[in-house]
Amino acid sequence: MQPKNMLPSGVLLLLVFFSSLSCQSQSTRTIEPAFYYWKTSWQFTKADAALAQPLASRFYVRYFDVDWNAGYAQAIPVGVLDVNGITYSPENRLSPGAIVPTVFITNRTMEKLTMEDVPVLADKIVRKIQRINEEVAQLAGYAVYDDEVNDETDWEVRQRRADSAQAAVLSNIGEIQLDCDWTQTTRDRFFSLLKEVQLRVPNWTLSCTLRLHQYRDRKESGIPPVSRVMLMCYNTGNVKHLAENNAIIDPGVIQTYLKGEPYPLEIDLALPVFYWGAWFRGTSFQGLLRAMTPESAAQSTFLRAIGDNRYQVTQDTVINQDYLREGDQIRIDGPGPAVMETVIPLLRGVLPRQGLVRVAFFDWDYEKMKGHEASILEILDRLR
Amino acid sequence: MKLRYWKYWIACVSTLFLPPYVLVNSCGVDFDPDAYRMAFFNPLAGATAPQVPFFYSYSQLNSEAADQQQQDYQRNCQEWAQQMGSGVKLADIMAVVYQGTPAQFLGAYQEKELMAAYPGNTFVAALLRPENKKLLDYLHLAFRAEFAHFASDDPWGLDESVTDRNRSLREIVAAARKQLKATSNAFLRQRLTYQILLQQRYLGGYREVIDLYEANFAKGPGAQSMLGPWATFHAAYAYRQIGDRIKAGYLLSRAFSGSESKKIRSYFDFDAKSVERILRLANSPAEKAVIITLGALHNPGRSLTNLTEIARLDPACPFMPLLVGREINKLEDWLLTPAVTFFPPALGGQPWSEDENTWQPREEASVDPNAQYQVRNQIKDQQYLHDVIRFLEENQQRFPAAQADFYRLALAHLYGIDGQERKARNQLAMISAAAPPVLQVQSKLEEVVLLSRGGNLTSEATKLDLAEALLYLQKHADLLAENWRIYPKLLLYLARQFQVQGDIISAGLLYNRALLIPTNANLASGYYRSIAFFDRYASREVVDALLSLHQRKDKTPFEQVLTAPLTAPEKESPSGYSWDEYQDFWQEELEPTYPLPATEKLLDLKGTIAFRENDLTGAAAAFNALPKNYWQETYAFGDHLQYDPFADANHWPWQGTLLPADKQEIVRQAIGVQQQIVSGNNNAQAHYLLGNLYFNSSYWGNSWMLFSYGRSSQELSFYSAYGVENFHFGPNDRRYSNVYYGLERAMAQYQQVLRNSPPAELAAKAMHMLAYCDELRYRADTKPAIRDWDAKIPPYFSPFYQEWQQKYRQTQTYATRLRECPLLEDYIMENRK
Repeated sequence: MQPKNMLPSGVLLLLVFFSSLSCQSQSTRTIEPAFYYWKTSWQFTKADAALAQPLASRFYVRYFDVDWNAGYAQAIPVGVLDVNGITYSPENRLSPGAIVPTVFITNRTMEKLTMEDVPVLADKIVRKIQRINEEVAQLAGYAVYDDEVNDETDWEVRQRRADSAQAAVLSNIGEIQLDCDWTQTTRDRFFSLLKEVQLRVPNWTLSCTLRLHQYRDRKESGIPPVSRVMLMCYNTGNVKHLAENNAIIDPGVIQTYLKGEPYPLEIDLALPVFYWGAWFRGTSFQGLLRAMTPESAAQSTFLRAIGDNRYQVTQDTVINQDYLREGDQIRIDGPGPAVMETVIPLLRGVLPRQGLVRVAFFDWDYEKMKGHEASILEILDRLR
Repeated sequence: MKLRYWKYWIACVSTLFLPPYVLVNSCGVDFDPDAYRMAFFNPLAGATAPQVPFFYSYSQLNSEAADQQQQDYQRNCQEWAQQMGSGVKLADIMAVVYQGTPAQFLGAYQEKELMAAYPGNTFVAALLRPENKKLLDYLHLAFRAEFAHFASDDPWGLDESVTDRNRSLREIVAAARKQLKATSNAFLRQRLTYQILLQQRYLGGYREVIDLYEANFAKGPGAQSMLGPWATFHAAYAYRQIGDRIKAGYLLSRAFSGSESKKIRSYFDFDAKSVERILRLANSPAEKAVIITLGALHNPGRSLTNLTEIARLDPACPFMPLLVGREINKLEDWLLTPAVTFFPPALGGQPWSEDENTWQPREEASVDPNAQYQVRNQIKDQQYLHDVIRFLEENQQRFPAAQADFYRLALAHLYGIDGQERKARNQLAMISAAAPPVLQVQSKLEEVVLLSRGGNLTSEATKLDLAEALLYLQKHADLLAENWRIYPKLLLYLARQFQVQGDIISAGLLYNRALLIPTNANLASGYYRSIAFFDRYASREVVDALLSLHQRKDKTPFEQVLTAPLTAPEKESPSGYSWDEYQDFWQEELEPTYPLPATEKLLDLKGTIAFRENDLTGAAAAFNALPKNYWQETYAFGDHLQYDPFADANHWPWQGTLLPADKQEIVRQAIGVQQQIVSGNNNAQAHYLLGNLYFNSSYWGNSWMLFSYGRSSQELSFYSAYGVENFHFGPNDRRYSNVYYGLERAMAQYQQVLRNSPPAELAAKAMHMLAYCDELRYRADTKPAIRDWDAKIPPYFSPFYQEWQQKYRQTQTYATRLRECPLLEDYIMENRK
């Protein structure tokens, strides 16, 4: 018996044909490559800069986190980026392209913060960002000055070049991004914070991150008062569940979230370029093996492949401070080629057909990026 | 299509029989792993106090403050005392340098009121003498530096009025350079140089840190001073910052061995992956031994290779007892934690929480005793036990004589775990009578282990020895490792040994004494917790014996130990919780202040066991000894025994009269129905009522609390199927599985209805119940084999449904059932053959 609501197969075929035509038609969107820089100290060398040149024209640099501190009974900056590394060694340099100061705010902070305190926090965040901007620019100037110290260039010339470098850095900073996993209960305070921040930097672009659930459940989560949102397409599953296919990026999960009308703001994408091994004994989650990638797992002498991204430990092994026992299972989570093959068409579906889209990869690490430039460029190309 | 109807059918049935749940902690536990990690060997028997953070422990490394004994500070102050000459008391130097605050000293210095701030202090008095002005100026400078390091009034760093730390440090460096030029005093020059080195480390002047270190503290008098290892630590940081991680690692190993206050930081900064390369920089076997030690301390797995190498290089290595203790505690965790608690070994992987920025305890699942890898790993761990024993046997004579008793104990302990009683006793016999108390207590603990492993535990002679040893250990429990709760863990271990030998009374009472050690069985609610062990393992005879213990005045010494109120070491909660807080955690009063369950609980348990065994007369005898209102006023009986247990199974939501919970009355009626059957009076109806009682007292029924003390949705999952005592209630899944989950008794009664010429309506009811019971039996049989929580059970169509539809579709019962579940007929028509 044919279900009543089923379309005749011919009509269905036509629909598939037209929809495939529409998928194949050329968009005019511009993809701007970017990276997140999520370390706590500046360790960007000339080698990093060379590698990053074709991969990123913009770096979202985590300046600091904001967390609630019971001792101070206020939100305080945590893990402030140590920018002194810019001048530690001549090898260290700034990243290429624009810098977007990025601040992660814990949802706990938004839970504790009162509405009255929102302007105060906005003020502190903006001032702190500006302070770090000035430090970064100043140190970049010093670095230029020091670079030429042995060239017997006149000091006034060196100083002018340093001043110019300093000004260039500041002119390359024109956006702030706030990252917070806000919920229905903290939404109003976070949105108020966004407005207050924008009031203090009216000429800058203000963006914020957008979790998949915030994209889908936009009625409950609200639409943040910003110019752009960065849709975070990772951490899609519960790493502690053995049955997950891929806790970092699972096409099946992403598909369930990317439903509904187009998002009413300009949208950028954040994609993972990291892997980890989720380690299980029986069904019990033991921990994350952060150094593990598909390549390292495939080359390990103590692992045996038992599935697409699953391995079994074949001999007792200590990795860092983790004691893996024979029989344990490891699931490699991350953006493998097969995963991205499925994810990219899904993401294309939510992107505007025209205009600028930034695709930011999380996060920059020279050792992990080296040798993977082609796959990054291919992802960017396929999103065009 | 079949699947579709199956889903509807399940939905209908689920709506009809929504069970009243008792909340249980059944989703896994979230304890500090050290709370249940089995450890009977006290590593303090051999290690020194500053080595405590490096014990094999989940939390110790992160919770211990460095150098709690202040050994470094003492050394530093002794150097000051030597400089100041006689008349200056060491305690006075400590008071000024380490017991006050920088602000206190700086304020008094500024106001020229030092003597008033430190009245009678011989150190301050000496400093104020004109000839010591430069020493006073130095101390002022050192306090300024310390204040600059810790002053942080504005965590945002935005307030311009708050001191700029780096500017302050630069001023301090300039002042130190000036003072350095102005003095030839070697003591002062060394201290000022150290101040410049220290501040430059924080100012990023790494090259100068290294130059100053190499010139002043790498060797010679500077290295001998307390400042030597401290400077070494800071130089290590500087080397790492300029990219020389190997040299940094080498210096960290020197700071680790030379300083107590820098031990933990040196451990954390040490790159254990570079041990081989760091070893190339070592200048002596002893230095190599320390480097290997640091590598071994980072290893949560088997480290015997490291120990063997250290023993070869430096048998007197001061860290060897620590490392041996770690290997013993590892073996205990690997071999005993699963066997005693049914959790996996407590340590090994420590998930990092990005959200909370801290290491997280694992959410434990139970060990699967049948997993092939579990067995293989146990065999390897057993082999490793033999390897460690062999290592100690081979090296025992090479280790320093002063540590001989420690190594004898270590061997005795491992022999004990391995069941080599004679060898263990030989080692214990050699321990000196003058050994320190901590060794004496450990030695007595070994006696308990040996008694539990050797011969007949149940003999009165053994029990007498055990009583004597346990009383001794209770009394000296403070000499067992702090916060490790060795004593109650030992009782839990003993409980398992008694259980193996069939002495359920002793096992259960020991188990109840160790109830605050998490196992995967003791997470039930308060009423049940103290009878949980007996519910699982006791016969009615055992319950009688427990009841008699309440009355007996002639208890043996062992019985006195077992039944006495809990002692302080047994009530010691996991670290960080007081007994009261722990009770708050469970949101109830913890029963086992007395480990022997109350008489009323035992009587109810006895009656419940009789009911499970289908001895209604026996059940009545036990229940009738309790007050009639006992079940209304106790535990959750009132909530789960208020429906008519003889009613038809499909009466849900309950529409009948709510009854006062009364097991006496239920059993009295049940006996009446049984007698009705025996007398041959209306047998079909009597069998139907009895069938309903058996159904309703099963897992699926409205009065399951007649049979069980709790109920969990996970009872029929794969996870509970393999767990030895995995979070569920009573012996239901083993001894009574066919009755409680598989409805064997209920189905037999419904069959009897059909054999006794029932009227059509009654026959229709009985046949419907047979079909329904058959479906549930299938679910009970199938679900435990399914690992995936959300997996669908493969469809099953009970043949009784077809028969019911064919024979009874004209009855009122049939019509009623269809009205209650309209899809039932479609379901039957789709599935019939």
